[in-house]
Amino acid sequence: MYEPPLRGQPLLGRRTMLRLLGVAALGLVAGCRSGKQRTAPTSPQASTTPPGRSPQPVATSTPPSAAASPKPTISVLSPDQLVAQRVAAAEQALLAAYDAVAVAHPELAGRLAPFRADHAAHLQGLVPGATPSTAPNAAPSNTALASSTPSSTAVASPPLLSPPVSTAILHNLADLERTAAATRLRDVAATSGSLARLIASIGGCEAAHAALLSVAT
Amino acid sequence: MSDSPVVTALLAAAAAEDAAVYGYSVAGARLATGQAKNAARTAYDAHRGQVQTVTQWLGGLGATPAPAAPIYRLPNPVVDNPTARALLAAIEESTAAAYADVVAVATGQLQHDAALLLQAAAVREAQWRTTPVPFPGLVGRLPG
Repeated sequence: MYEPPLRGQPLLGRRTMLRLLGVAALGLVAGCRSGKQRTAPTSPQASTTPPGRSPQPVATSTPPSAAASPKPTISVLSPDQLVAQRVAAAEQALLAAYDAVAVAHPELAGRLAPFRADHAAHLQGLVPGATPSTAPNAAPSNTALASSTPSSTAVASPPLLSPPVSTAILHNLADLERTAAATRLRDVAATSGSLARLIASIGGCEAAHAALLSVAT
Repeated sequence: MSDSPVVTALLAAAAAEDAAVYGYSVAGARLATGQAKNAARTAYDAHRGQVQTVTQWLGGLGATPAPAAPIYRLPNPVVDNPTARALLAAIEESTAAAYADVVAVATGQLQHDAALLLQAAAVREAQWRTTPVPFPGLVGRLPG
């Protein structure tokens, strides 16, 4: 009755998708970690000074320890900055996914260029001046994708296999975009104002990407 | 008396939805294919439902949207399939913009739901354009 989805024969597209998801997950994990670091130091501070029932109007009554509260030596990122960085990391991961596909399947690169360009624009909107990372961890996955795919396709005749492979890849990218759009809904909840508006718009773009890529298959 | 930022944004969203319903009723007939006409009909129904949803949100905040206008001025005449698709894309962009403004001032469930409606508008906008837009709802007021 219930069958785990990975039980099926290892399709080419599946493998590609897992790699792409891995790239995306790296970005998400990085974002989550930094999010936890931010919340930890703030909570104890809030609990140390419970609001007193009886107000003490005299300024000198303030305990000296509260007046000389420890100042952080390194500046803490604001909650908004943290969310922006988390979303930027996710956009980097999506860029890496599109780059990996472009390397492994140059015939799709032109068609996917507008999608990739949108994510580059998102990155710029979130972190002005940021450039798509060519981090060392992105390179191995790219080369792995590029080398593994042709070797497996070489078994059958490429012209016959080519359309399903591209369909599977577009399908996988659509899944990544759909997941990203759902994640943006959660990111929005942690923000307000213009950043919330920007992240919601990015989520809208990603939902639209998913729809267009699904139609394309 | 001035409305709260959330009420102001929701009133604008209600007006955008009313205009969307009108726009779909005008443009739907000019679309070329049955598939597009079906999509337009589905979107028309969605916008009518969203008028109700936004009206309910406003009711919860003690506000009532203005009634829909009987007729709206179109940015360009709708005479054929391309002009119909252009109008529908513009309509979706303006509803996306209205929900983006709700997202900016709302919190909690309302903010989440507005972000979801923005996504739905962005999907329809891209389908009428057949190309993606990097910042749906922010076209013409891009960040940075």
